[in-house]
Formats: sequence, C-alpha cells, structure tokens
Amino acid sequence: MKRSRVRSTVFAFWAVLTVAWAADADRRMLRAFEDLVVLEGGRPMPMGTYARLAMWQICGRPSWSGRSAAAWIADLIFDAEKVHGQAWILVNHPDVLDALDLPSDPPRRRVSHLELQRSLPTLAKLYREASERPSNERTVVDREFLRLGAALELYAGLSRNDLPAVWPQENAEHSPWLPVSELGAAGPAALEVANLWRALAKAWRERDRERVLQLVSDIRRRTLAQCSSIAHLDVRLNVESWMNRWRPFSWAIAAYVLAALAWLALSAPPGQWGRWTIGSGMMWAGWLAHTVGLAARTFIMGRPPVTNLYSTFVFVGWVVAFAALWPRRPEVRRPVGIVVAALAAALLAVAARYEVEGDVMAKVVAVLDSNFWLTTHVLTITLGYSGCLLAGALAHWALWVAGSRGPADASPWFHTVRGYLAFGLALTFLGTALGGVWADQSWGRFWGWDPKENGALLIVLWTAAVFHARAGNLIDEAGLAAGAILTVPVVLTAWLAINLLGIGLHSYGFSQGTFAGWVTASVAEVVAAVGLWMRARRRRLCETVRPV
Amino acid sequence: MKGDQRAGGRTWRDRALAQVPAHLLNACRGVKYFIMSAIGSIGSRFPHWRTLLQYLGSLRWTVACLLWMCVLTVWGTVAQVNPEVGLYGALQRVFRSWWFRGPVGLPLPGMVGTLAVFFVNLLASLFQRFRPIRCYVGLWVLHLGLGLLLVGSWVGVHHARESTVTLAEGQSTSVGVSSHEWELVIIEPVGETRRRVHAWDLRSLRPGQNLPLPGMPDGATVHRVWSSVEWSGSQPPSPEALRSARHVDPERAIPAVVLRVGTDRFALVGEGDALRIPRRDTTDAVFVHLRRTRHPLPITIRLVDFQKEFYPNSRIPRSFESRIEVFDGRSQRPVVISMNRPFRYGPFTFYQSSYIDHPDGPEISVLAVSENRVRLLPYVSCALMFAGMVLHYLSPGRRR
Repeated sequence: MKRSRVRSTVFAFWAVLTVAWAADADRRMLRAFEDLVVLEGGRPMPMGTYARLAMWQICGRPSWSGRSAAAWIADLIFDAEKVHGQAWILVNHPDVLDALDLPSDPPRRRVSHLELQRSLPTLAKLYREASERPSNERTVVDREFLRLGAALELYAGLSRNDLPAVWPQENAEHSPWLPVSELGAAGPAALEVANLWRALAKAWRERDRERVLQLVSDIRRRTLAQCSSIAHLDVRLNVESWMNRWRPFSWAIAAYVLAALAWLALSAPPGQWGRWTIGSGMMWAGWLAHTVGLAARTFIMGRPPVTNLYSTFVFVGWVVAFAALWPRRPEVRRPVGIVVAALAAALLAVAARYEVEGDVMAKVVAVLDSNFWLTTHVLTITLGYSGCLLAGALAHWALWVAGSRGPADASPWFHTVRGYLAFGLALTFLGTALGGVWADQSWGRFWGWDPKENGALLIVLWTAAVFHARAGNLIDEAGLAAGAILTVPVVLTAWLAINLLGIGLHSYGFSQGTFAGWVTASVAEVVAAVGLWMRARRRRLCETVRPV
Repeated sequence: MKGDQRAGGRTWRDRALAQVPAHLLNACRGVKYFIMSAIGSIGSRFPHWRTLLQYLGSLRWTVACLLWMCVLTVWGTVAQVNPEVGLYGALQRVFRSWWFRGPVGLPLPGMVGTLAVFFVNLLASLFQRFRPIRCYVGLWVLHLGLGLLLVGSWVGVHHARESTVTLAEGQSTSVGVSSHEWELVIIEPVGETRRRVHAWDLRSLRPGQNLPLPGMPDGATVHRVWSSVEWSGSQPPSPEALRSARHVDPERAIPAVVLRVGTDRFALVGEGDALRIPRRDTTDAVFVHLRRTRHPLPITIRLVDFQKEFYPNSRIPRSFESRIEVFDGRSQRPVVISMNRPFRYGPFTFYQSSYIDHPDGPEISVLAVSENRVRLLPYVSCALMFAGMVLHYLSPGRRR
C-alpha cells in the first residue's frame, strides 16, 4: 500500500513534469516562431505582431480556444489541414450566415473553413457586388461581406504560403519583400531560405523543438542580414517582441485600476501606511509601465509618440496619469488619484479597442511624414486635449464637493479645474496655431475650415466662452466647473466624431464605429454637468437662506 | 529672489530702464500719457460714449459671439458632408458670409457678420475694460493679437487667391486655374498664331451689361447670369430650358450666361463649346465662352518628372514629388516640390496637391497655387496671443 502510494506519487510527479516540459517546449517553439521577421503594411515586424493582426482579422480576437494567435497562424502556415476543420473564422452578422446558407443560431459565431467551402462562390459574388457599391451606400451586411471576404483571402494566402512577405528582394530600406511561395524563383540566396522554410514546416509538423529553434534562428539571421540597410532593425524587432510578450499597457491598466480601488476602498487615516502608499505606489507603477510602453513605441516607430488615433489615447492617458503623481496633500491626492487613475485606465482601454482596426504602429502617410510637425503640432494639441479632459474629470468631483459640503470647501477644487482648463485652452490654441503653420507649409494656407481644424477651433471657442462668462460674472465657479464638464463632449467631438464624417484633408484620421460611444459619453457628460450643477446650486441656495 | 532682484538698491526693471536713452523713455511716457488721457477724457467728457462703450464692450456680447461661433463651426462642418454643398459651399454659405438663410428661411448671422460684431466688441472692451497695469499686460497682448488675427483674416480672405496647375510630364504653363471662379472670355484671333483674350469675372456681369465684341458695332448684351444652373432635355440646353440650381458645391456648380447678339439669344453653359460669332468687318469670327478663371503666374513652370512612392508591399503612400523647371524671365532653375516641401516665389506658394494616374500616358501632377501677401500675419498674431496667455497666467498680479 505504501509502496503503491509512493509509486503513484512518483508517476504523478513525472506526468506533471512531462506535461510542463511539453508545454514549455511548445511555448519555446511558439516564441521562436514569433521572432521570425516579416513585412506587413510597409514595415518589418516580428511574426508575433503579424499573427495578432491576422488573428484579429480572421477570428476577431487575439486568441481563441485557449490558444494564442501565433499558435493558430503557425498551424495555418505550416499545417493548414489541421485547422481547416476548426471553427475559428468569425462571421459577424446573421444575414451573412443566412446568405451563405449556414445556420444562424447563434447570430454571431465562428465557422470552420470546411463549413464555408461550399459557400465560397456565393460569397465571392456577394463580395464583388458589395465592393462595387459606393462606400457611402454600403449597408452593415455589405461591410460584413467585405470583411469576411478579406479575412478569407488572408486565410487562403496564409495556407498557400503566399503570405506573409518574408524575404527582402534587395538590401534596401524600401525594397519589396517576397512570400515563401515566390522565393524559389528569386535567386540562390532566396532559394536557400525557401528550403529552410520548408524544413521549418516539416519540423513544426513533427514537433521537433530543437530543429525548429535552429531553423528559426537561421532564417532570422539571414533575413536581418538581407535588410542590414535598415538602421537598428534587430533591436527594434527585439523591443517589439518584448512588447508583444509583456504588454506594458495592459499592466498599466491593471495598475491604474488597482490604484483607483486602493484609494477608493482602503480607509487608513491620512499620513499613515495604507491607501496612500498602495494607491500612490500602484499609480507610479502604472505610470512607469505606461512610460516604458510609450518609449518603446516611439523607438520602434522612430517617430514622436503620437502618429495615429490609437496613439492619441495612449499619450493623453499618459499625460493624465502624470497629473495624479504630483499632489502632495492627502486630501487632494485621494480624489485626484481616483478620478485620474480611472480616466487613465479608461483611455488605455479605449486605445486597446483600436487594435482591432489594424497595425497600431503602421507607417505614417506621406503628408504626416514630418517628425518636426508631429512633435510640435500633434503633441501640443494632444496636451491640450489632456488638459481639457483633466479639467472635465476633476470638475465632476468639484461639483460633487460643492453639492455635498458647500462652495467654500469646493473652492480649491474649482481653482484646480480652472487651472487645467486654462492649460487646455492655451495648449489647444497653440496646437491649432501650429497646425495652421503646418497647413501653410503643406497645403499653402493657414486656415481652410477643414473639419479637423474646425474641431480644434470648437474647443478653443468653447473654453474661451466659459472663461469670458466667468470673467463677466455670467456664471459662478460652479458654472465654470459645469462648463468644464461640457468641454469633455466638445473634446470628444473634435477628437473622435469629426473623424466619422469622412471628409476633409485629414483623411488619414478617418475612423468608423465610434459613433455610439461618442453619443453615449456626450449625453452622459451633459446629464452629469446639469445634474451636478443643479445639486451644487441648490446647496448654495440652502446656505444662503439658512436661518441664523 | 526679491533680494537678488534688488541688488544694488535697484530692481531689474530700473536697471533695464536705465539702458534706454532718456529721450526715448520720455517720448514713450508722453505717448502713454496722451493715450491714457484721451481715453480718460472720452470717458469723463462724453458720458454717453462711456455708456455706449460699456454696452458694446459687454462680456455678454463676447460670450454670445463665441457661442454663436461654436454653433456656426458645427453647422459649417456638418454642411460639408452634403456632397451638393461641399467645402466651398459651406465656405460661401456659413464661413464667408455676413448672414445666411437658416431653417424655414430664417436669416442668421454668418461667420463674417459674427466676427465683425466680435471685433467691435473687442475694440470697445479694450478701450473700456483694460487698465494699463502690469497684471493686465498678458490680456492686452492676447487681445491685441486677436485683433490682429481678425484683421489679418479679413485681409487674407479678400486678397488671397487659390488656383491649381495641372501638368503632364513635359508640359509647361504660366497660369493657374481657379477651381470655383468663372470668367466669360471673348477670344479674338490676331494673325496666324496669336489671339487676343478679353475676360470678365462672372460675378461682375449684370443683366443689361454691354460687352464690346470686335467687329460688331452693337456688341453683345448680357441677358441673364446664373452662378449654378440645371436643365432637363437637350444638350446643349436652350436659354429657355435653364433654371437656377440651389445649394450646389461651387466646385461642381455649372454657371451659365445668356447673351443677346443682335436679335438672337445664346446660352453659354459651363465649359461647353465656344460660341462662334462671325465678324461683320472681316471674314474672321470671334469666339465667346465660359471657363474657369485663369490667374496669371509670374513664372513659367514645366513639369519634368512626377514620382510617387509607396511603402513596400502596401498602398500606403510614402512620398509624392514633382520635379519642375522654373523660368522667371531671366533664369531657369530646377525645383522639387513634395509633401511638406512647397515652393515659394514671392507671395506665391506651389504645393503638391494631387496626381492623376494614367496607365498608358504620362503621369499628371496637380499643384495647388496659393497667392497670399499677408501670409505671415496669422503667424505673428497667434504668437502674440499665446504669449499673452502665458504672460497672463504667469502674471504675479493675477495670482494675488
């Protein structure tokens, strides 16, 4: 009995070790696969990034069924038969399922390539019809046909090894790259690499870990040697692989949420170990992770921190979080910490949503190809957005305090709101003016009433109106705070809603799908501004008529 | 800090003033005294002026103007989405108008009208509200910058001209073509290879106006002018078939003019065929037609080569570049125009605007031309305004 127990314990231990070793072997193979170098959207990137992008497009998620994007894409490239039967291709609309003669219950589901096989001619026809329709006349179903068609095209390209592009034709920065299927006819060096890829596919199918690691290392070395003209490419790829693994922005979100919760929940008296230490510590940890992520992005892209809509959220979140690090007095630090940590986490969470739309470190278009103007105009105006958002967020607290404890207690908060709003006004104005200078340099005119320019002007006009109303005693401090809250929808309009119009010269900023979020946030802010202002006003009136 | 500033018993301000020549200092003080006493005397001797200034410079007007400008900005932006209005339609209707017709024909102040009120309000408040004390220096600078910006914008709108130059590789030109302005031209052949061109801005034509036609003693009379027309039926349309089209993007609008020559009436519609009118004195004929306004350029430019580049394996544009030759009457030199790198010649700026792909023929580059003699005014005014904001926020008097 005793011996059998020992034996079974040893067996269990061995089994666990074996599973752990096998899992580790799989993980090491996947990591090696993620380090391969490919070209997508005009920029060399690690296969890990490419796999995530492909996975978003095919599956609508970065992982599925407990397997990472790299695992799915590696199987699709090296062992397509294995995944053809797996239901992982997203179909987002029941009408599309109906049109393809597939069961539409549930209405949004994932199907396998085998299921779709017999509907491919129908899909090709519907795809063609949708693509021929003018973009402003396309319905949701048309857009879904287009999305699904593109996803299946990508799927087919990956399974035939027509994608991704893995080998630069020449050692030049802007030379085209070739996929594995075309390497055979591209010269002796490319042929050798093609053979290595075939060997890699075989080793992958056989789960030959050592061989996979060795082949990946060899392919990567040769690819980097072939594009040695691109400065610091190996370091950039390593940093990007590191970012893919550690995801500093996810850590930052977690830290900000924890900081907000700590400040909210722990009730140690001011000055003692407790919420101050934990809250501040988490805030600092989150901000450092945020800074590392931002710095890594800047280094990988070789551009200033803000180049696209995604990066505006990341940068504004970073600036906003920075504001929470400085208040010294505990009675100030706690509310600022709660509001700002929640705001920073929300901004990073919104930024993560843009990963669905494609590469968040995509190459900038020709008109934006100016690091000087990206640094001056774009950063300045984004700082202006940050100031206005901070003022709006803290105004909620200021009005809450005014409504609860009276305007005297809220006075320092009103002062802080005014300061941030003034900062927002000054920086938005400067950013708008610098944008005018850039427009003059690029388009030959300072101001052209382009929608994006109008958005920035709207913020300047609104904040100026709030300040002038206060200067003329048309509103009191509570009115100024309510005006600061209303600045939030104005900023969101300039920042997001303008991009939905799809017109103007700032076409590189166009986006879709944020309409519902913009409307919800704007309505909520208007309701909050009116509600909190009325509450504060009632409190002040009560104090005025209080009997002695 | 204070002790440092007062080293030697004098403040930094005294030391700085000591460097200024005495006569210049006295002159400045005199000017300041004169201005302040003038403002003071206006206020004290003419109390009704003070009341008027108070009314015009009221912050209520300021806030009302700012809020209405917010509304107009949103209005004009959303209007651009309508393809029949477009950017130029919104410019004409909302941003460059004194007033416009809103819903149910309600007359509403346009951006120019609102800015005019805003400017008067600004001037009145500068006289009435600001005091020459240190804590107001920032506000003075800020609002003077704003005034300069408004004046600069006004001058810019009325003196700036925009046109485009569309060139295939190897072609040259010395005129820019406006995208939304039209002119009526009479072309008179002079000799074998030369033509004399008489042009009238379409906006200046009025019904009943007589246009001299070479070789025609009575000339031609303008019967009707439309900035935008539509018609049904035949092509080209008869004068009777034309009717005014409303709310059309000026870039897409088709203007029309009906001319009476003798007893006949002719309709000129858009860039249609030219009207051929035989001369009475010779066997030649003159040609009359409408075309987009030509703006002469001080130089001749020739497109040598147009290059567009994309990032590898993508359709993300990396650069557009036009290599041109510029001839200014004295010398010829090569110039490269690319994104963020325009070519400037005096008040003219040439920048890469677009291109037209021709699979079989030569590539065509579209350069936009902007002529603006007050280009630097917005730079100066915005710099003043930002400096004013910074001064105001950092002013020690304000903090107290």
